[in-house]
Amino acid sequence: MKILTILIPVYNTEKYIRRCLDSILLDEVLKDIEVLIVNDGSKDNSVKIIKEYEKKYPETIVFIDKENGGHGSTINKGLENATGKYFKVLDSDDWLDSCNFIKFVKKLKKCDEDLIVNPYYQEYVYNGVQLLFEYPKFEFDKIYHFNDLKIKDFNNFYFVMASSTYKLEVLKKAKLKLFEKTFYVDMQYNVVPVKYVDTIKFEKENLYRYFIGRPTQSMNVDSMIRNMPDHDKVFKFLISYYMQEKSNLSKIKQEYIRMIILLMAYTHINLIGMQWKNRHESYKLVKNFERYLRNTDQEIYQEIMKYSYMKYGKKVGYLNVWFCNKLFNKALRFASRVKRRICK
Amino acid sequence: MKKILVISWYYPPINSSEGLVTYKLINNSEYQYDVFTQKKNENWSYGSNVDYENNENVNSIFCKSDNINDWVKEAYEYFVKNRKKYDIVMTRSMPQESHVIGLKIKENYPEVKWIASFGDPIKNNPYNPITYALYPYFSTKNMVNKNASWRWKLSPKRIILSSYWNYKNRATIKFRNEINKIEEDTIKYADRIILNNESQKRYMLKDNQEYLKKAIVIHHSYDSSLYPRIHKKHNEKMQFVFVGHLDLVRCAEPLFKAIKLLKEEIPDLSDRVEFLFYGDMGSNDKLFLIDNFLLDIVKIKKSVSYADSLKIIQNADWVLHFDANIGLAYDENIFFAAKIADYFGAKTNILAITMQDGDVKEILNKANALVLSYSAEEIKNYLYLILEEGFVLRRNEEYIKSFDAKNVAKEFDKIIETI
Repeated sequence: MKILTILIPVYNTEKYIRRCLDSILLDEVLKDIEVLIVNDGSKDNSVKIIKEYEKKYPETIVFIDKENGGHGSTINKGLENATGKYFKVLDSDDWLDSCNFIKFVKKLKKCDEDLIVNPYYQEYVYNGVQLLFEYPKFEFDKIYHFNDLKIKDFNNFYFVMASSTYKLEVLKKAKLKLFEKTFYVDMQYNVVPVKYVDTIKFEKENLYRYFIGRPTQSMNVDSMIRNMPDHDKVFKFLISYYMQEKSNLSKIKQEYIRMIILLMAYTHINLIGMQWKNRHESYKLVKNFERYLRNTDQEIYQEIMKYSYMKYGKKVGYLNVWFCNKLFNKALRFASRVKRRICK
Repeated sequence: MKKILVISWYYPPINSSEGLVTYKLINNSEYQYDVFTQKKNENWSYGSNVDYENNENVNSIFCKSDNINDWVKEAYEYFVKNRKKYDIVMTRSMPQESHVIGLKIKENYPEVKWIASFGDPIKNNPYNPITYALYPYFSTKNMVNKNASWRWKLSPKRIILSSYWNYKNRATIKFRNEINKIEEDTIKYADRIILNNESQKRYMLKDNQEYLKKAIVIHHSYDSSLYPRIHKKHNEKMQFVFVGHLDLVRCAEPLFKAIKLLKEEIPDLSDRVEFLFYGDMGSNDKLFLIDNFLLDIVKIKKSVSYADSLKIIQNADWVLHFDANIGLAYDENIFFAAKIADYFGAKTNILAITMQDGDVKEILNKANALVLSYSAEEIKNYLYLILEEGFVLRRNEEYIKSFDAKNVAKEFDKIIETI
């Protein structure tokens, strides 16, 4: 049994896939890893490149070609076919630090924790800038039980796809099935398995290099505004999941998932705030959003209504969205910046 | 057979990128050429250190003066005296003064066929602060103000400051407008425009779509006969070589950052690899090397002659290429360094650090070079793979052959044929 399955979802990334594969197909680890490449109906030369690598590393690479179904469908397919003890998703435009990857695989052989967490870098490759994301409150190489963690130690940083390596058994137990043809399904991946995670280990090797800056990337603000219905769909899924599972979750897990939901809600509200070009649409969105929240978990509703945009908006019946959404949003951002500076 | 008068300030024996590109092209062409040039002024060149001889089809005519204004006059007078001898005139920038001669000829003899060849863009050259960034901070042409609010755009304060700046810099602005006009007029009146890559074509003609038909891309080339025949020696340390010019914009800092990161992973890095930089280097790069104690791995060497540079790049394990990151000004790289073609001819693997988009990136990718972004992490990763994992790339020799001067000259001959 291989120690690690790396799933690489591929969709039109001919420009980047070599960098991704070169970074993990290393002599030292070839025997220990399984690289599962799922092509999501690419229309460019990605398949040609993958086949070239498959020929070179037949023992390591498993190639699955399927019709386009979105990022979620590739992860679902990957989970069905994975055989390694651990499971990690590596997007085909990202890459891993080769040197740290070798150390990571070596360490992984001795691990039995449900979740392994590594720091990662966001790489703004267009201008050579990088940002390190880590969890400074947790000690490296120490085994933690999820239920012993404290929510304040997370400091609003949750375990994202780039930082987490799950035990495949955990993901299977969670019956993880991501939405198809939907963006932001990584939030499902970040939340759903948590219920079954007991032990966690933090490692110091920063592994993942998260490529940022491609204009078509879903993290780009314009793309986020365009893909807002998907954001809405995933957000609502998380709330319904939380409400459904709340009674089965420990206190810390409840707090953890609520933290993720609140962070996502913050992005969601910002997206509504940025939809200033179509004020009719924005007005409808914010009204529906509030109505939806009111009928769900009251704890989450109260928390979200503390956000200034919702709090002050509610007082004027969200007419601010109709008349001066952009100005209002800007004023709130400015006020929060001033507040933050004063608090410092 | 058609005879062409080439007007080029640089041409061997004075070696410069532009002169050598012209030399390789016309010496492999089937047509007859006279090159009006000079051999006294070595400014902005690599010096007159190697005298490449012309083939039988090329003859050099040298200007008596070393002053560029005199050269312009003499070149025009030479053409007037000998105009019946030539079917076509070809002018080559840089410098842009050669196009001034072309414009003067075209103005007085409209029937003369004129080919204008551009090295880099003259107008709006993001690399040239005079033609590109010469706008006051308060000008609406400045990027910062482009997206500013209307209130700021219409503010009297901005308008007064901008006008004052314009007044203070009126001489430089006049100079900029003059050289911009040279490019505009050249594009308008030349019968054919030669550019060295598709991105440059898109950039230079974005406001002049009607002239797209007469613009043709002729890539830089390498001439196999110029490379000394050597037995590639086995280097004790793996050798990465850069030959050429670096400055504050076109800098090697991402590579140096990567070396610094790699040194943390591999402490004995200096025993295994060396990076040799022949030629100029910007002070920012030098300071970075000193501050980070990298001079045991990166060695700065004096400039060498073009012939020696070909020998050096043949001997290297990897050759390095850097493009200026002009991402803030334009989305794609519009420059094609002639060095890349020389690297192709040297049969050495290329590690190129370039912008995410552009024709040159496509060319390097097709040639199967290692093309990386400005991310130090990405560069470090590949250096690690090269050193520790024996990462190699097989050059696409078939594609590279299309950059052989003989093949490029064939493309050029087709233009001569049809003009």
